[in-house]
Amino acid sequence: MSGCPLEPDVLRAAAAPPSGSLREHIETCHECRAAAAVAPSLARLASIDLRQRPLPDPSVLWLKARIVRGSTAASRAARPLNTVQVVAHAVVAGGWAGLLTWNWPALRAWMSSLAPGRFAGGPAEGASLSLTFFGLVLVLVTVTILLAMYTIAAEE
Amino acid sequence: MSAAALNFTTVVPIATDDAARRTPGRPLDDGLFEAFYRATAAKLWAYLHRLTGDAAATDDLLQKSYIRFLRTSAVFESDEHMRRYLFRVATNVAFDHLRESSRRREVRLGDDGAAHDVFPDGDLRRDLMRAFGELKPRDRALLWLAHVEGSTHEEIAAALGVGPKSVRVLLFRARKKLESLLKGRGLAPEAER
Repeated sequence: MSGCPLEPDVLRAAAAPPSGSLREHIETCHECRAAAAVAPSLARLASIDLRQRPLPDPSVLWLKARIVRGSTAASRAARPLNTVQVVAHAVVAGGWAGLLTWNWPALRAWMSSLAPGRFAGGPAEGASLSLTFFGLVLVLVTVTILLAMYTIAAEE
Repeated sequence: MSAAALNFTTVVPIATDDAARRTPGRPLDDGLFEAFYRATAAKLWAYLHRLTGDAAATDDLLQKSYIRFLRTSAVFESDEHMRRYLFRVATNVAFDHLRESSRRREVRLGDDGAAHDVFPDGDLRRDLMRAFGELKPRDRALLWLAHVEGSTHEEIAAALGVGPKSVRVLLFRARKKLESLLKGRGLAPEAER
């Protein structure tokens, strides 16, 4: 206790009149005088029971605390999965962007070859896309669908 | 109640409750918690009620305090340590509630709030409650912890998040404020005796 060393005695004396030496101390110590002045009122205040309802059952609180701890643990456990999910979305989006950028000239030529006017003018020329490109498209489509299904399932 | 223990350790006996006798370091299981709860709940309710001035809110805050207390992973050296920690948690819970209430302009303390509760015996107690309710929440907590809970200045400092040296000054000021409020209502110690 960092206050007056006799303060605990003064507080204890709230219920009964302080002894002679303590009373003399209270007269001279401004801290203890302030404590003694309010101690009886606070003791009376503490004795007032204003509970209108019984206290909750401890077993209910114990159970609630377990539920809260469980949900906290679950969200903590899900945190790495959420991070992986965000990274996976970024990787897939980056994969699509990279693939389309890398093959953009060939894709444009291939799309032009599909225009109706080109068919009228004869067979298309130079609009070839590599087998690797189609392989990568297949992989990315598969990964995108799996990721979308996982995201929907995780949200549900 | 489940026999499973929450994953934290504690504790030594609460001197006031034989049912709570326990071995230090033993996990806090439902039985030990029940004994601890029975030894502390009524006092904690009174403390929270004097801080908030609202019986209905106090019921909620009591539950919130115990649930938050049970979520801790702190290791307790003794039941006294555990009790002090509980009051610290409860103080934070009550102050959060008061901050939120004041934001919603729903603070019901002093003349507006304490009067909402039912006073079993007369004007003196109501005046006491009102005078106490006119103090700032921190002053109410300081006085209650010092006078009713018998906490030391260090314990009060830990509960309120202030420096231990400040408690002496703050407590003195709070006592003077309360004394002046009591005098204003004709409840000075001289008048009571």
